[in-house]
Amino acid sequence: MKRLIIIILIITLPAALKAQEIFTKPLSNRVVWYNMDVSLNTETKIIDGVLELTWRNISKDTIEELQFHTYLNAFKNTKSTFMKESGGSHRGMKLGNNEDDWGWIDINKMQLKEGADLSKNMQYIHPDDNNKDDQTVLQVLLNEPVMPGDTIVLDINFTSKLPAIFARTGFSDNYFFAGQWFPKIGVYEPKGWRKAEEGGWNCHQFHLHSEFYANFGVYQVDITLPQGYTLGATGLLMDSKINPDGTETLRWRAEDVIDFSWTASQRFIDIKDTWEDVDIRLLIQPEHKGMRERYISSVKAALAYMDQNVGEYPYSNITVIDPPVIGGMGSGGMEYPTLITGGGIWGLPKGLRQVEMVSIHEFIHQYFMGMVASNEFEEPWLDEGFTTYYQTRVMDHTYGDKSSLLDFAGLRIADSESTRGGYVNMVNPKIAPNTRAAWEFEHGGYSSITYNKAATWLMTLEGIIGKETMDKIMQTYFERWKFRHPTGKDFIAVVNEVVNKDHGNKFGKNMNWFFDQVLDGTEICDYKLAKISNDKVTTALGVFEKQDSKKTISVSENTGKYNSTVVIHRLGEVKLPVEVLIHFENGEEVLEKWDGQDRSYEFSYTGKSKIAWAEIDPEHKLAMDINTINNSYKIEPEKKAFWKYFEKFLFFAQNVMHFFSIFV
Amino acid sequence: MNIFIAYKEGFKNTGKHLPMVFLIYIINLILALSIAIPFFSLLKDGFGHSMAHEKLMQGFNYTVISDFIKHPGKILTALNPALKTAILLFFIVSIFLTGGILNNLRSNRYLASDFFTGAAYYFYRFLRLSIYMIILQLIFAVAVYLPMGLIIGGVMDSLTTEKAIIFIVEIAIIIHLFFMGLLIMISDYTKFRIVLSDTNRVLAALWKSTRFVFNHFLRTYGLFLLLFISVAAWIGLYFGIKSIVGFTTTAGLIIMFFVQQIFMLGRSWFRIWLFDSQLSFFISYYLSTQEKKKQKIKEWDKEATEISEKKERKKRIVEEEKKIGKVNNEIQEVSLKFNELNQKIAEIEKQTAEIEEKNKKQKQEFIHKQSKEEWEIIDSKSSKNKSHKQPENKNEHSSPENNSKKDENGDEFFELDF
Repeated sequence: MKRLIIIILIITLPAALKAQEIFTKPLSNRVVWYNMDVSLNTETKIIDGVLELTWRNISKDTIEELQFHTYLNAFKNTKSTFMKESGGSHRGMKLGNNEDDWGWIDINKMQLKEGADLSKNMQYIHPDDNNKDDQTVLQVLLNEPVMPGDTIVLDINFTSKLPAIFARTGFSDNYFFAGQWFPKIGVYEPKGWRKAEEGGWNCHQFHLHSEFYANFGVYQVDITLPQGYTLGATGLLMDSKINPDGTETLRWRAEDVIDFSWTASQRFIDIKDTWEDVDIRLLIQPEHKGMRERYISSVKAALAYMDQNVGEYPYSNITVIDPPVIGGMGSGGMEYPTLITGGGIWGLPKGLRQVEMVSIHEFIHQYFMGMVASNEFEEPWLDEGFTTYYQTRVMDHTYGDKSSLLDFAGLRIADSESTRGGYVNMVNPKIAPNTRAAWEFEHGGYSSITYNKAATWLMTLEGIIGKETMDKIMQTYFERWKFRHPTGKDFIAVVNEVVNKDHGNKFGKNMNWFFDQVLDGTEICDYKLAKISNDKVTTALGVFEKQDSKKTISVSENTGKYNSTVVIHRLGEVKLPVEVLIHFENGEEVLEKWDGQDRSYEFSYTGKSKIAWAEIDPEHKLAMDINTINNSYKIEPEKKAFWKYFEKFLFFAQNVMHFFSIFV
Repeated sequence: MNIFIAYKEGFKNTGKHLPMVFLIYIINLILALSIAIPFFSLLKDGFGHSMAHEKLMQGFNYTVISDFIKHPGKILTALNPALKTAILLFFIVSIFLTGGILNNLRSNRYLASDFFTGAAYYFYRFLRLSIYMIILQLIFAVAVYLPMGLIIGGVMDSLTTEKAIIFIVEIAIIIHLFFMGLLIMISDYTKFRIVLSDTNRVLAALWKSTRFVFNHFLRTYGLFLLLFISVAAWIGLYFGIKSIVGFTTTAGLIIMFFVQQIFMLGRSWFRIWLFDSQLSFFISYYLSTQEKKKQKIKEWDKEATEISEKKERKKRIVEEEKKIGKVNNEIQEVSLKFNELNQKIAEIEKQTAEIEEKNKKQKQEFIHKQSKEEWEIIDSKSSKNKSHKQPENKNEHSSPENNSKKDENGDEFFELDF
């Protein structure tokens, strides 16, 4: 009987939800439906929610348990895994000790729709670290298993207490940002699916260095809160009403997304704009109003670039949240489906493009992990690395390839340079391979390896195979894996496929040699132009047979030619194909290619002109090369730059001395 | 004195002290070169035959600079101690030079001998002053930023935007700059006071100068700001030229080298200008104060002379009185002795009288006896012997040598015949 009711509900619920559908044809496989009715008590910072969860077993396995993320419990006490790993601080911000500062989520009741109460079957589990005090993953044993292809509907009553803004979520004064705020079901991965060796739930605890992973689904959320608040949320606002008690209820709906977050504040200024048929909504702090154009134009630039170079942005809107600096920065710089948070500071000069960089970065996440929903826990490089790579491309394309990140007080830095610098300037660039899971960066290096190194080797890959092929790879990867959950191997497969198609065996049978080094390996790349020599070619000395007689030549003569040699060393362990530009004194130039395999290699020439200079990687394709200073060699090096910096340094020293002498 | 006049005079007088301007510039340049030359060598060796540095000619290049610093340029960190030493050296040399500068500015003429004499003469005092001023600068910095931190911490919970914090920080910076300028100014006026009054009491001079600055606050600070604005304009001019010429070509490098060195020469000029303007201003007040002081001192001298004369007179009187007293005492002593003598005389007279009485009696008795005997003899012998023969009688007739008698204590005394 129960089964019948459930089947009826399964048929009727999506139909009911369909009444206000956004996409006529689903973009994803829609494993889960969240139908929520929540109300925010702005005084107690508590969200009371009723969730009707519909989950579909798309595997061929029989599911006997469910697992949920209850991430707000990461902020419940200092014994949680997140708090232990972070020491209570995240992105330079600390969680306070006031009663109001902590956050938690309680599942008050969980039962099958019109069926058994599962509340007693709930227990917290700790799949990653066995920390028995961690309550961020909830296991629910089912009385009856969910059969392959079947759907289960649960009624869940929950209470979420928002912490004082910390690690992406919480409240600050009348600003609320609800992220990872509801019981979110994990991802069931059957054997062979992604990396799964056997069927099971992929539901990790909340760690310091980890983000999220979820199935695509449909969210319909009714949010009730006092009037006077401006709301922004994932998806679209479908309806709103004023309740008899004076509160307001707003209905939001998002389809084919992996998460749902929302924000409310009494101070937001609501700014609307459009790019083609995409609505851009900016909820900005009044004091940051002067930055509205910076936010909007950067999002438009990212939309245009990604749409043109990667794939179509399928959603009809994007909401950009500008959080308050005081108390709210912990929620800045974060990505959620169709909703991103930026990070503006009042008075920030235009030449410091922090606002633009963050907005562009978070928007690109709409593609990498928003749509191409890789597992952020296990392979963070797949979203952060890809996003950072495209961030540099959008930034350099939009704001200039020499000054896209910084153009202030005579200092100019391109975003691509800064990103590369984040990797090559690491104290220990060998600290970890890029394949490491997010929570396994126990001794540092998470950001530099995950964001910067991955982006740098993607730039290097682009340099080796060419931008055109790279774009084809990314377009193919996006098109093939959007609204799915790829792994690194899936990306490599696309690379091999496209490179092979574009270049045949030019780079070998496949590109695995590249990924083995840069993705799985920890070694560095460093090529050095070690030496140039130009030796005069003279006539031979000694005794020579000539017309039946011996002739001794004891004086050699100049032939007017030179034996010229360029010697290259490979200092690093990473082996990449290398181009070398050789410039002769007569202006002739030769572009040589070397497979970069041996420890050293030389190019030799005999001719009337000497080699003047030579340069490894003249087009800077090998962004991974950690030292570009040793990439070139000139017989007679120019001294102008030395004089320039001598003058500047002298002037600097003189002024510093004068400055201190004013205290005499 | 009007601050504009002081400002103008300072500028004009600086022109008279060009050797000092050049001296400051040259010392600054030599010390800076002592670090810049090794820097040049390290740069040259670090890049070696690389062409990477050529990109630096087109402007700041993050990749080249960061790769250089990370790899061959690591050795540049070796220059840090040298730079710090050069700064410290210039600081100490500046203390030395300041004495010379002020010694010359005071006399409004340049004399090398005066310069070095002054430099050496005031060095220790100015060194002490500089140490005090550094301590004060630190105290003021703490006094500004500590409350700022407390204010921000205190209002943080009630703030909704970062604007307030930025304002608070900006205000704190402005206050700090204000105090920094104020202390620099007080330090300058202290030096003037030390030089003009040739005092060794640095703290007292510092206190008086602080009072002076606050007593003429609008003028002293106004003059300081006027010169500060002039320096700012000079810096602005440099950046204007730099933006036009740039460092991208050989010609640009040569021009900019001269522009930079002229700029530095200008900074030395401004140093003298600042000193001279403030000194002119200070002297105008200092001299008028000195005149008043002199007049007062004259009055005081006159009064003091009168008082000392009175004192002298009084002293003399006292001395006379003392002498009179002494004489009186002596008279008294003499009188006492006289009385004693009188008493003794009286006693002696009494004794004499008694003796005389006795003698008289004895004499009478003797006479009587003798008369009697004589008469008896005469009577008896008158007939027999008519010659005079005196009878021997020791008690009745003796020589002076035999006049000594002993008193009741056994001491000898002489009986005198009066």
